Amino acid sequence: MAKEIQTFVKLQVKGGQANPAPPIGPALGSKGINIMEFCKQFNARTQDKMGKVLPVVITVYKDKSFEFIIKTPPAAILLLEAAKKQKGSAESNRIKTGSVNWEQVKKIAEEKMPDLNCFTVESAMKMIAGTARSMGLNVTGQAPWN
Amino acid sequence: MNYSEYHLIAKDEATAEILIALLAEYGFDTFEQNESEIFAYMPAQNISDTIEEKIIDLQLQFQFTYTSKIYEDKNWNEEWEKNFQPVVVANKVLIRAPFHDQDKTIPHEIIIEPRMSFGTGHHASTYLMIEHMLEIEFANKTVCDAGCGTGILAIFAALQGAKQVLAFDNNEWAYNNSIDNKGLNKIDEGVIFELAELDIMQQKEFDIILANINKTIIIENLPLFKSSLLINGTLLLSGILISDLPDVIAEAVKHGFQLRNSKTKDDWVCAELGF
Repeated sequence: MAKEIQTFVKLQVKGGQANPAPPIGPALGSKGINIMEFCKQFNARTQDKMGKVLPVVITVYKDKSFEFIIKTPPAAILLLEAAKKQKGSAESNRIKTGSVNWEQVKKIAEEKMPDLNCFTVESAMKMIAGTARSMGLNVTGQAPWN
Repeated sequence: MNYSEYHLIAKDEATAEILIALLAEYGFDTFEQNESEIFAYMPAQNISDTIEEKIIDLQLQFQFTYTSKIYEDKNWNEEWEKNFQPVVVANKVLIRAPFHDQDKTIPHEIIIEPRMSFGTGHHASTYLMIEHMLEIEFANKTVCDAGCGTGILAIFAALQGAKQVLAFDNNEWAYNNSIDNKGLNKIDEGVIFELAELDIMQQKEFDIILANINKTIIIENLPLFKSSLLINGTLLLSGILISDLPDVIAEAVKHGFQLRNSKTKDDWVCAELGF
């Protein structure tokens, strides 16, 4: 028989850096979940995305067990990362003057497709480019459909 | 450690997403987002005037309101710790809290009263370490437990006859908890718990090194483990997903280690190495 779900907890946690402090501690601890076990599992499963903000959805069952799924990083996180590469600097975060190119936008759109309400890569690219502009990032080069 | 919570209300959900990306750059490590509302967290000691200035800069750019508060350090895991079930490893080791009954039919017993620290045997990585330790000779050996959490592995090494055990963790909760658990198990002075980073191992040599940490830290510290391990010594690694074992072994081989044995449970593996 399927386990009965108590609730879902949605958080965004840096890869490899989950710890029992707020908000993980109060969110899971109050439901009787072993927080230390969640942190161990989350950190092990995100070793290759160390330091990158990752949305995680934790299903808490009534028997105090849990499962979680890790989603792709938010588009804004991926755009910021791409802008840093474009500038050739891993340290700069002065995004007002940053830029990304259409190739990077396409790569992000493809990565985010499972989480976006888009039927085509092209419409996902337009959505990602819109986010980039809202962040103050220029999208450089020729859009593939122009 | 006290934690700061910043509660921001952005003009829309898309802006909230952008703000999370930028706040992550400033050192906030965890977030909750409910549409245009964000809760952002970082250790209170890391909040500086510079960070406050950056948030005010963001406010000018993205127009949001915010408040902040401090969460005092406390044991968030208390609810689970009040009534967890004991664990039996390979029918030979009972890991229980003081509130559980003894079981004289099981030859070994470890008493652990966890307080927001890792290591109760419930997780496969600890279970596998204990199971593997049953097959290793500890009598009169010197042992290091790197990242000891509750101290469970160091305590079991001592109970198995280790001559000297150095165990350490860089987390204050774990350090205090390991000392309390040492008392619960009536371990003598041969076991030392320290609040320390991995470099405490430098200039020391051990017969056995126990490390239930994670892939990245293990790989980074293979040279340290090698220099701290006596010839014919044993390096017992855990906290590694089965899918990550080839990466760990490939790196370990570069440092002269060989995989001697491994055990798996669920998605996890415990590997015994030597050179």
